[in-house]
Amino acid sequence: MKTDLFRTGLAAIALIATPAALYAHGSMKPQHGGLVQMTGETMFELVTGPKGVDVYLSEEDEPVPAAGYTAKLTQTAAGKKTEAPLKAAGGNKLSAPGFKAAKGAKIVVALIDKSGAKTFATFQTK
Amino acid sequence: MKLTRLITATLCTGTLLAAAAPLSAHGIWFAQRARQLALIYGVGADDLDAVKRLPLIKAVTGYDADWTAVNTSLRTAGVIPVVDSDEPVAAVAAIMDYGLWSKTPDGEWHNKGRDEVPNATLAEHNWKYAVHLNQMPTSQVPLFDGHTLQLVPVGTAIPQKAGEPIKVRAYYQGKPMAGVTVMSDYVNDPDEAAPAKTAADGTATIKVRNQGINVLMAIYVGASDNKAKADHSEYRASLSFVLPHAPE
Repeated sequence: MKTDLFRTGLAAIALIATPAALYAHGSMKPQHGGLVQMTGETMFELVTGPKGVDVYLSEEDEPVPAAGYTAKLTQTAAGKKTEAPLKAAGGNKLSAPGFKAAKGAKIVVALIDKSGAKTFATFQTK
Repeated sequence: MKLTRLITATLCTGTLLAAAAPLSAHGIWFAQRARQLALIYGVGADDLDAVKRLPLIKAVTGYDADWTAVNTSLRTAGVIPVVDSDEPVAAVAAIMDYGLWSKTPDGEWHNKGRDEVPNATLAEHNWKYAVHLNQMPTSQVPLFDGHTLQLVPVGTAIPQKAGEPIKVRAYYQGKPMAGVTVMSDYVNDPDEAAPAKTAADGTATIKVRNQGINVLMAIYVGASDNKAKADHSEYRASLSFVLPHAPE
């Protein structure tokens, strides 16, 4: 009897947990017309333009305040590496003003939180 | 009431067995912890204190998808050591010299060589290695410097579904080695009843056990690297990788 109760409990937990897992990470649609990449539960959106490069952070469709991080981007194009710091630019936006993203380049965003935990997102520009 | 007693008794027995596990039974591998890649020291579900053992780590190396070295180190993050690298790593590897251990007739282990424990019934030098594939390889996994024992997938075709076979090859001192034990799931089945043994060409084919992290462990007892101090050297080399879960 107790075993049955235990099994029923486990089944109920499994049913509750399943829908949560299915929708845990939110939408992968770009919100700013950029390239998106999910690392762990953080979504990075990379937006390149004539004025520089912006990166937007979100988790489960909610913006993540950029002020809590230090970040940099590293571009590898034609075998040459260039780096630039990404600075919090209000809300969930990090910016590297004036940084020129090359076509067909690999851009790595390195994001470090206040605990020192580092997360990477790698993009291939078009 | 009976169920509670049974669970308590089972947990106690498990704890006692874990405490009694021989020193050499422990290995090192890498696994994700709180979004970071952590170095784990333990066996089965025992995730022991890897931070205090960091001085025993002799090398940590990271590689990109082309196997070019990436500047990589271990950083203590509270109670766990995590991988820190300048760039994303496609693979990371570590070497641990667990030192000399001698067992006396009373069953006690001492962190000394036979030269210091003359009545030892057994003296061994323990080496532990770890290789973690952070992404599926696009070319053959190479042999890494300093890894006296290393387990590598044969080719690049790592199956993506649990239950499918994977062929691996064990290398000892840079050469394919026969007779190496290959455990297929060191975390969830640490007492695997009939682990594979490598054939004459160093290969073994095993089933990929988990649609998640897989920690394979190669084990080989080789000749002593210092006969005055140890009867033999025991090598444990993990190869770990993750199979992705279904899209969310």
